[in-house]
Parts: sequence; structure tokens; C-alpha cells
Amino acid sequence: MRCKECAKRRHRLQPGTIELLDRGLCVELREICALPIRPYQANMPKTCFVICSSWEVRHAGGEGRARYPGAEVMMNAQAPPPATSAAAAEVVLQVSHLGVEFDGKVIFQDLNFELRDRETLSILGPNGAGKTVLLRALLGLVPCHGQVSCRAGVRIGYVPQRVPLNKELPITVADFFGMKRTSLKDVAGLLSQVGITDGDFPQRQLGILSSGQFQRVLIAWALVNDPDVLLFDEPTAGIDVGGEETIHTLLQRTQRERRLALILVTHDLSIVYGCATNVLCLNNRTFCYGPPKQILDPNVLQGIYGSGVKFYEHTHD
Amino acid sequence: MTNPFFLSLMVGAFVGGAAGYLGSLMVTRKMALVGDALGHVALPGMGLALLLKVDVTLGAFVFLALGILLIWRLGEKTSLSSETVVGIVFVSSLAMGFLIVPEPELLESLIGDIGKVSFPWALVSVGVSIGVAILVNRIYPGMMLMSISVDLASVEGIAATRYNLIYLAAIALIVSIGVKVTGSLLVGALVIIPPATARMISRICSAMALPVWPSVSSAASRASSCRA
Repeated sequence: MRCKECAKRRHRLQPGTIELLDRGLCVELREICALPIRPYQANMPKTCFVICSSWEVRHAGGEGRARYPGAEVMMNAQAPPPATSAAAAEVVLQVSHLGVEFDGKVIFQDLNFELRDRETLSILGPNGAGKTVLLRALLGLVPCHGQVSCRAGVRIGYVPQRVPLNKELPITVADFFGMKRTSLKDVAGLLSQVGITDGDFPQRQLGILSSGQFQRVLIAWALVNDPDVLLFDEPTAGIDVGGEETIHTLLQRTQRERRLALILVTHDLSIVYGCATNVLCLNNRTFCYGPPKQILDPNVLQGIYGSGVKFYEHTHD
Repeated sequence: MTNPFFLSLMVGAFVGGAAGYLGSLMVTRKMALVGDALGHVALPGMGLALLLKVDVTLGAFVFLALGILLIWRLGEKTSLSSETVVGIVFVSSLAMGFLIVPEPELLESLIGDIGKVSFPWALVSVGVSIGVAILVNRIYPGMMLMSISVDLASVEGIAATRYNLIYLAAIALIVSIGVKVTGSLLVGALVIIPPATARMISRICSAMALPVWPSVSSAASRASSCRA
């Protein structure tokens, strides 16, 4: 059986073997009724997986064929989205001619971009290019000129760049959520969404958390009140490589489950290529804006970062 | 009701309780010594009040309000840290204070006398203490969030400038009544020692916001020692 329109559609599998036949294809396996999702990519060393019980598989990116027990399917990234999200993605945030100056020094000017439902916009640029300032301008934390218009009723969550945490701060995780009037039950739910399932975690002191744990807490905190847009400032700065991977897996999963639009400041080009719908390169003015695969080439990167930037394809092994 | 011991005890307990509560916020924000420094900012005001024969609390409050406005303004306009700004205002006031305070009253201005409490003043100080405790209670969660991240607080609609001003006003109020209890030199004890004690006992905020009890008991011992 070949099926052209099955991208993103769920396939319920019988025990057997799944095989990803084309390089670059990425699927997710999910045990029915249980949360853990494992993304698998065909360019990983292992492309055959033994399915032990009933699993669901979902298309997670790339293009290619996969062979399931009793079926071979074509998975296509350009296929129409499933019926549940059939409505065209609406513009959530529209930015036109945005500029910020500090003491007469232009940080950036004349920025134009838009963000639609469920999209990811990556902001790329060297240190001091104004990436954090841009997020702060979108949040109304710094004076700016130009226009930032949001769809009516849009809720925005914000995860700031590496908060220097006072280790002495006598606040527990539950207290921290209490500042947003979140009930203990909701706290447990939010924490489990970011992969923290420890029962006594809410009672832990904020100051003793590792930076990766605190980053997860900050994401969960930003997810309180169900935001439509999440602004994320270098989510992985200062997090070890293992933690970095999971933070991004986590973000992608949260985005799918919550139908979030994401604005992501990052230096990691493999994340830009892997996750971003559009990329905005910033270096005091818009260098480029558009889908990363179309606009990011070595010349553009050189323009943003100076010479010597190379992109190595990111492989999972 | 007008028994001097009872009045001293009541004033000590209320002022100590409110100061301890406010102090828990100051200790968390690493501003414990600011309370102490502000005690000295009150000194010239106390000196002028003594010369003009009005209540020292009034003089202290006027100077504290001016001092705090200056600190707040300098903090907003310059890139100096709040510690430095407080330091500048504090040493200038101390120098002025020593010039102004008449020598016979200098000792009382410096270490206070809780035994010399009049009934109306006791009522005012109890009222102010309750008011300060209510103010602190209102701004407590916001201030805690600000000590995690000012940006996160702003996104949640907490205006940092306004909160800081309310916070400083609460400090001004408590210090200006506190100087009468402990004097300008020791007023820091009211805001530092109770939260520090609470910090040793508890690890978390909700419990630490209760340094009221150590304050009340220390006020009681102070009242009784003054009487003796």
C-alpha cells in the first residue's frame, strides 16, 4: 500500500518491524496511551526498529519512504496537514518598521516580519546584534518605534536568556508557580510536560536546581495560561549537550501539542535548519528573512557572522 | 493602657514585627545593610526636629523621604549600583547629622530610648506598622519575582519602578518609627536580625516571611531591659 497523503497522519502499528528507507526521513514512535515519544531518523545508524507492542508513528520531518508491518508508505513534508488543523495558519504577530535606539545608537531599524500559528521563527545574529533587544521590544520592555501588532487576545510567554539565579533565594518551585496563581495540580501537569515527573520536585528550592532543570521550570512557567506565542531567548545557553538536545526535543513536542508559535533566538544553525519555518538574520538591519533552506547559504552567514563560518550537518548518533 | 512598660512593649512588638517582615524582603534582595544605612540618613532630620522641638519621627521621616527619593532618582538616572548610591547619600547625611544634632541629645538619637514613648505616638507607630505590613504583603510576590528576573516580572505586568518606590517608602516609614525605638545607629538590627534568624530556621519563603515572632520576643526583652 502506498499512500501519498499520509504525512503527519498517525499510523497505528502491529508488533513487527519498522524500517525507514530514505535518508533524511524522520518519524516519531509513540506508545499508544503513553507519553514518551522517540524521534527516529533514517540517517541514524539504525533504521530498523522492532515494535514490541502497539505503537503509533507520526511523520516528524523530511521526505521518504518507510516500511511498516504490512505496508510501505511515502512520507512527504509537503503533504497537506491533517484535517484537525485544516484552517489556514493565521498571522499571530505582525512587525513592521520596528527599530530600537539606545542613547542615539541604532540597535536595529526597519525590521519587518510576521509569525503565523504554529510557525517557528529563528532569530540569528552575532553577539550584540540586538536579538535579545528585539524580543524585549516585542514584549514592550524597551522603547521602540515602528509597529508590533498582535492578533486580538494573543497570550505571550517569555523564557529569558540564562537567568542568573540567586542560590540563596528562599523560593520553592511551587512558590514560583504560585506567583502566577497556578494550583499545585496544574504545576505537576506543567512540569510533566517539560519532562519533570518527580513527585517532590515542586517542593524543591529554586536555587538548588541545575541550570537544565531551571530552564525546564522556566519553560513550564511560560506555558502557564496557555500562551499562543512563546518567545525563547537562547534556550540552550549554558546547558550541556545532552540537555541541549532534550530542550529542543521538548520544545518541538510542546509546540506540536500546544499549537504554539515560537520565536527562538539561537546560535545553533542545525536547530535553525531543523526546526525553523523562517529565519531572521540580524545585524543592525535585516540581512535576510525567509525559510532557512532557501536563504541561508555560506555567503549570507559570512555576511552575518564575518568570515569562517561553516555549517556542518548535524547528525544523531 | 498608658502604663509605660505596656506602651513600650506594644510599640516594640508592632514595629519589630513589621520591620522583620519587611526585612525578610530586604535580606532576600541582598539589601540588608540598606536599612542600617537609612537609619543614618534619618540623623540630620532627627537633629533638626530636636532643635525645632518637634517629634524626631517626623524629622526622620522627612529626611528619609528626601534621602530615598534621591537614592531612587540617582539609581534610575545613573548606572551606579544601589549599594553605591545608598553609600553616597548615607555618608553625606551622617556628616550633616553630626553637625546638626545637639550634643546632649546625640546619644539618644544614636541609640534611641523605647522607654520614652507617649500614648499618641504609640498609637501612630502601631498604625504605621500595620500599614507597612499590609503594603509589604501586597508587594511581596512581585518583589520576589523581580529578584528572580525583572524582565519576567515586567511581562507579568509588574511595574518595577512602582514596586521599588512602594518598597522604599515602606522602608522609610519603618525606619522613621524605628529610630525612636532603637536609635539611628541600631535601626538596622530591626530589619536584619529577625529575617536572618528566620533564614537559619527555614529554607523556604513562606516560612521565612514569619520573622515576626523573633522580633516580637526581642522587643519584649528590650522593653523590659529599658524599664530596668
